[in-house]
Amino acid sequence: MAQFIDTLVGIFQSSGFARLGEPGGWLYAVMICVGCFLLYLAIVKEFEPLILLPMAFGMILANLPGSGVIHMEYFVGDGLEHPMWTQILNNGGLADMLYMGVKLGIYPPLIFLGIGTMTDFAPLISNPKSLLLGAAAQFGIFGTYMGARLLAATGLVDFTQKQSAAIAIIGGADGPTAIFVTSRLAPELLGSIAVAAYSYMALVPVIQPPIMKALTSQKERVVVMKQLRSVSKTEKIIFPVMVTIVVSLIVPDAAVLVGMLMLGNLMKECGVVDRIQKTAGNELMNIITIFLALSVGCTTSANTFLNTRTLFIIVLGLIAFSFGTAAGVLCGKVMYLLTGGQVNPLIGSAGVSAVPMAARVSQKVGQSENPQNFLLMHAMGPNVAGVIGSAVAAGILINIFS
Amino acid sequence: MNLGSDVVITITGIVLVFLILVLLMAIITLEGKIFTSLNEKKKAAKAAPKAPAAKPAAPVQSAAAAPAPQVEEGIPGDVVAAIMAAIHAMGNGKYTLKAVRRANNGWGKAGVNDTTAPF
Repeated sequence: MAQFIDTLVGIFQSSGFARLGEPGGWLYAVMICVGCFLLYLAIVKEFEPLILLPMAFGMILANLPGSGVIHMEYFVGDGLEHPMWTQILNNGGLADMLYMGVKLGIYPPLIFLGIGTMTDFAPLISNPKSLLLGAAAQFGIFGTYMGARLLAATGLVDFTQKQSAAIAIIGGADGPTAIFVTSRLAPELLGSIAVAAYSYMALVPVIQPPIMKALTSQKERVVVMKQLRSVSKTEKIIFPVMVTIVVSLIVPDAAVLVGMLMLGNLMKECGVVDRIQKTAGNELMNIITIFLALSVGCTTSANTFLNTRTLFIIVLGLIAFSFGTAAGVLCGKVMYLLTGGQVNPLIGSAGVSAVPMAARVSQKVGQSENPQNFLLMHAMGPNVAGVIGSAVAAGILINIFS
Repeated sequence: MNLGSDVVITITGIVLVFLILVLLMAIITLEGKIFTSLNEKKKAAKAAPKAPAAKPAAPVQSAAAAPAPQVEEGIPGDVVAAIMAAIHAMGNGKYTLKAVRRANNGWGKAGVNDTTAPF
C-alpha cells in the first residue's frame, strides 16, 4: 500500500500540476491563458485563424510544465553562435525539428512561393506608379527602427540594433517576412514579434480606417479612378523574371524571398505547370503554414514572452503599422495633387502588404463615401507593391545587420 | 549608444527601398509602352487590308433585297426596328437580320460575371 501511495506521490510530483505550484510556475499558467485567449481570437473572432490557431496551440504546448516539447536552449542563448546540432539531433523532438525550418529560413520563402501562385500583379503592371505607394508604406519599417533605437537610448528597454530592426519589420505587415528577418537577426524575440505581426495584420480593418479618414478630405476620398489598361500574358510572364533579376542583383539578401514569390507567380502566369502551381498554392503552403505557426508558437516560453520587452514590441508594432499606413496615404495625397485629382489617396494605405486585407479596406472606406466607387483593383497595385517593398526592406536590413 | 549611425541606417534604408522600386517602376513603364505600341502596330496591320475591302461592300440595295426577318410572335415591330438599326450601326451594313427570337435573359448573369470573375 505504501509503495502504491509513494508511486502516486512520485507521479504527482513529476506532473505539470506540481510544477505549476513551484516558484515561477504561475508564469506558465499565465502563458497558457494567453494561448487560450489567442485561440479565442482565432476561432470566435476569426483573426488570421490559419496562423493564429496553430500558433496559439503551440504556445499552450510549449508552456505545459515538463512537456519538453521544444528545447529553445539548443537554438538561442548567450554566446551561442550556431544551434547545437548534435544535441538537437540526439534529444530533439517534433517541435525542435519543425523549428529548424524557421531557424534555417526555409518556411517563409516557401510561404512566399504559395503567395506568388495566388497573386495577380496585373494591377501593378498596368499602373506602375503603385510602386511608389508600396515604397512609401515602408517608411513604417524604418521609422519604427528609429523609434526602437530612441527608446533604447532612454534606457527604458535594452533593444540592440538587430532587435530594433527585427521589431521594425512588423511595419511591413507581412508575417513570413517578419519571421524571416527575426529568425536571422533576433531569434530570441521570434515569438513576441510573430504574435504582434499577425495580430496587427488581423486588425488592419480596425487600425487603418481612422488614419485614412484623418489624413484625407472627403473630396479626395470620393475620387473615381480611371479604368486600368489590360495587361498581356507576355507582360505578366516577363514581370516576375525581371523583378527577380533586378531586385536580387541590387539586394542579394532579398533574393530568396523575392525569388520564391516571383517563381510562384511565374508558375501561375505561364500556364504550363498547372499541377505544381496548384501544389505550391494549396497543399505545400498549407503544410508549411502548420509547421511555421506551430513551431513559432512553441518558441513563446514564459521567460522570453512575459516581460516588458513584449509590451514594447506590441506598442512599437502598432506604431510601425500606423506609420506605414499614414506614409502610404500621404504619398497618395501627393500623387492626387500631382495628377490633378486622378488618384484616390485611399489606395495608398494598401501599400502595407497585408494582401488582400489592406486593399479591401481601401475599397470599403472608398465605397462608404461613394457607393459607385470601386477601388479594389486600383488598391491591389500598391498592395502587391508593398509585398515587394517589404521583401526589399527585409533584404536591406539583413544586409546591414548580419 | 550612437544614434548618428541609426539615423544613417534609417535614411539609407528608405532611400534604397525607394530607388529600387522607382527603378522597377521605370522598367515596367517602359515595358508597358513597348507592348502598347506593339499592340497598336498589330491592330493597324490587321485593319489595313480590310479597309479597301470595305468599299465595295457599300451598296445598300443588298440590305433591301434581303428577305424579311422571321420574327417570333409577340415581339413588337419597333423592337425589331431598333435591333435592325443597332446591327446596321455596329456592323456598318455588313450584317443582315435573319430572325428575332426571345432568349433567356443573360444580361444579369453577364453583369455578375463581369464584376466577380476577376476576384
